[in-house]
Amino acid sequence: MSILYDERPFKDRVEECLANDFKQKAIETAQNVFYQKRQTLVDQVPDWEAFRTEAAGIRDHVLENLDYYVNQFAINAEKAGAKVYFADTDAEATTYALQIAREKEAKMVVKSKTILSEEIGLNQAFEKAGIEVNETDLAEFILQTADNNPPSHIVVPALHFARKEIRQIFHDKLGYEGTEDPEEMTRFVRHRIRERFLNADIGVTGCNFGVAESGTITIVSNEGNGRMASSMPKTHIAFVGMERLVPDFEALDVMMELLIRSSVGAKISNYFSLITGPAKPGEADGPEELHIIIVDNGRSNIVGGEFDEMLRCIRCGACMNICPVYRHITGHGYGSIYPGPMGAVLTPLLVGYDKAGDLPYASTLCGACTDHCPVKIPLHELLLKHRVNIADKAQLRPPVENLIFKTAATVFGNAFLFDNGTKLGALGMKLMSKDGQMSEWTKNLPVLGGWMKSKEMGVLKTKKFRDVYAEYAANKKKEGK
Amino acid sequence: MDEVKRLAFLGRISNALGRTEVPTTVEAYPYENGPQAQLYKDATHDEIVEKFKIECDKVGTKYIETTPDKVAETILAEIATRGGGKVIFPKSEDIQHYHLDEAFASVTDGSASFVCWDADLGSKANIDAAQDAQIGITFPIMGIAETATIIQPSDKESGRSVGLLPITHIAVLQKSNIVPRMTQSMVTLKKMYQDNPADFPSNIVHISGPSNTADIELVRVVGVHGPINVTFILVD
Repeated sequence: MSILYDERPFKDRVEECLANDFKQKAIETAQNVFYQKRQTLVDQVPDWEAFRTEAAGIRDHVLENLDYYVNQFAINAEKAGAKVYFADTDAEATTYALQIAREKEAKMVVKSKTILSEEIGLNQAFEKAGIEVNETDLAEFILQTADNNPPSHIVVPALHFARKEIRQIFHDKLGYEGTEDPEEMTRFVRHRIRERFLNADIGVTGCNFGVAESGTITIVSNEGNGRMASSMPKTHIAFVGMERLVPDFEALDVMMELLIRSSVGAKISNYFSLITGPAKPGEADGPEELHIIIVDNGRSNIVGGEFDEMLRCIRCGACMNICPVYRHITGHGYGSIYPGPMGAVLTPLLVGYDKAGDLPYASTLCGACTDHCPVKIPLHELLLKHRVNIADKAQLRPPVENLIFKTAATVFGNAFLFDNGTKLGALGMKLMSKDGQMSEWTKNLPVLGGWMKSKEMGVLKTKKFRDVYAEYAANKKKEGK
Repeated sequence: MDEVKRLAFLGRISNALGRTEVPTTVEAYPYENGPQAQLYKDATHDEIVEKFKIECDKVGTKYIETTPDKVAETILAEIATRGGGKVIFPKSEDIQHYHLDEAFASVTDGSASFVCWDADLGSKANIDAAQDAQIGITFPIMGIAETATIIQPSDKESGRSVGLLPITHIAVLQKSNIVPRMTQSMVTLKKMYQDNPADFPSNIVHISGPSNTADIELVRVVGVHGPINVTFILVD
C-alpha cells in the first residue's frame, strides 16, 4: 500500500461508504465505545489538560531541535549496536530493507503493525522480490488475507469486517473450518502465526517513540506480536518516522499517559517494549542484528513551516474517534492510510493538494478533533489553512466557482444589484417551491440539487426585513404624530 | 551509518529550522514543571502496593501475595493450579535466593517438569524449550502500581522467550520494587542507562496482563500471540 490506496474521486468513495450500512454502524459503535472508555479514564486523571500541555511541550521541544535529536538518536542507537540508515524517500527505505533481506537470503518476514511500512509500500516491495510477508497483528492479518483490503482505522484497521465475513475469508483462503466466534478465530490465527514467528528470517516493526538519549526504539502492542517480531527472528528491521522521537526515557511517561488513553480508552497497553540495540553477545534469543531505518519521506518539508504542529502527532486516532465526518464517511472515504482529521491534514502534506486536495474539505470544522488531540494539534485550524492554501495559493478552485464568487462579490458590493437581485431570487424560489418549501424536483437540478438533497431550505420572502422595518418605522412615525 | 547521507539528512532538517549546523547541545526538557510528579506524592508504600492490587483486580490479572520464605511453595501451588506441565525458568540468582531449585527437584510425581534457560546451549535449544513449555517464570525488576504493570528486562540469564512463548507466565515481583507510576520507573531506567550505557538491557518489556485483542468487532479476546494466563506473585 502507499499513502493513497483509492484515488477515485472523493465523492465516489464517499457515496460507496454511505451506502455501506455495516461499515457505518461499525464505525459508529467503535466511536461510541472508544469515546466512552476514553472519557471515563480522562475524567479520572486529575490534571488531564496539564498532561496535554506537557505532551505538546515535549513534542515541540523535540521538533524545534529535531536535527539534534535525530542525530543523537542515531549515534546512540549505533553505540548500542544497531545499524542506522537514513532514508530520504519511501523508495530509499524499501530498497535498503530489500538489500538487507537479500544479504540475509530471507524468504519469510513477520511484521507487527507499522503504518509507516504501509506508507512506504514495504509489503509490495518484499512480495515483488519473492519474499513472503506475514502481517501478524490480527486486524492486519485479516486485511492481508482479504486480498490486501485497505485499513479503515489506524488503531483497529479491520473494523469494517463483520465476524461472519472474517470467518468466510478464513475459510476460503486458509481452509478454516471453525465457527465465527472471535475467540476461536483468534486461536486459529495464533497457531498459524506462531509457526511463522519461529521460522521467519526477518522481523519488521515500527517504532512508537525513539528515545534519543539511549538510541532505544519502543513498541506498544496489546497482542504481543511486537514482542514476537522483535525477539524471534535473527534480523530485526525497525522503521522510525524521523519526527517520532523523545529526548529520554522520562518523556515516555507523559507520552504513554496520553497515547493509550486517547487511542483505545485503556490506561496502558498490555506490552510496551524498550529495545536498545540487538541482543547482546551471549544472549540466546533476540535479534543478532537490529537495523533502524529513519524515514523522512516528505516530513522535512513540514518542519518549521505553517503545518509543523502536525508533526507532534503520535498516531493515537483520538481525532477520528470523535469526528462526525469520519463517523459517516468512515476510514475508506478518505482513501488514505491516514484517515480522519489527522489524515486530512497530513495526507495533503505528504502527497500534495493535486492528489489529496479534497480531504481538508472532509470536515465540519467543529473542532472536536482539536479538543481531543492529546498533543494539542489545532487540527481544524490546520484544515482551514489547507483550504485557504488550496483556494488562494494553489489556485485549485474550479473556474465555475471563481465565476460564482466574482459575481457574488459584484452583487453584494452594489446596493442596487443586491436589492433587486435578492428580490429576483425570491421570485425564482417561489416558482420552484410548494407550501413554503423547495419542491422535490429541485433535487434533480444540477448544482442546486447538491444542496437540496441534504438540506431543507426555506423559501426567500419577496418582502424583505428591510421592507418590513421601513413600514414599521413609517407607522411608528405616523402614530407619533 | 553512511556519513554523507547522515549529514544530508540532518542538513535538510537544520535548514528547515533556519540554521546551518546541527546544535551540539540542547537544554534539557524541564519535566519537573509537568503534572506527573505531583501524582501519588503523599502516598505511603503500603498504599502504592494496595493500588497495584486494586488495578490487578480491575483488569483481571491474577496476583498472589506471599512472604520470601513461602515463594517456592506459592510458585509450586500456582504451577499446579495452572495445570502443571513443562516449566521454564531463568538461570538467575533469584532461583537460589528463593530456594526454587530444591523446590523444583521435590516435584517427583511427574505433574510438572522443569527446564532452565541456558544461554550456553544456543538459540535453538532455548527457544524450542520455551516453545515447548506451558509455563514460564520470570523475575521482573520493577512494578508500576497505577497500571498493574511489571517491568521485565531480558539478558543472558533470562531470555525474552521465557515470559513470552509459554501459555502461562508467572512473574515474581518484590513489593518493595513497586513504584506509583511510570514517572518513577522511567527515572530509574534513565539513571540505569546513564550510569552504565553498555550494560543497559537490550530488551525491557512492560507487561500489564495477558496478551489480548479487540480486532474482531471490538470483542475482547485474551491470548493472541503472547501468554493467555498471567500471575503476579507479590513478595513482601
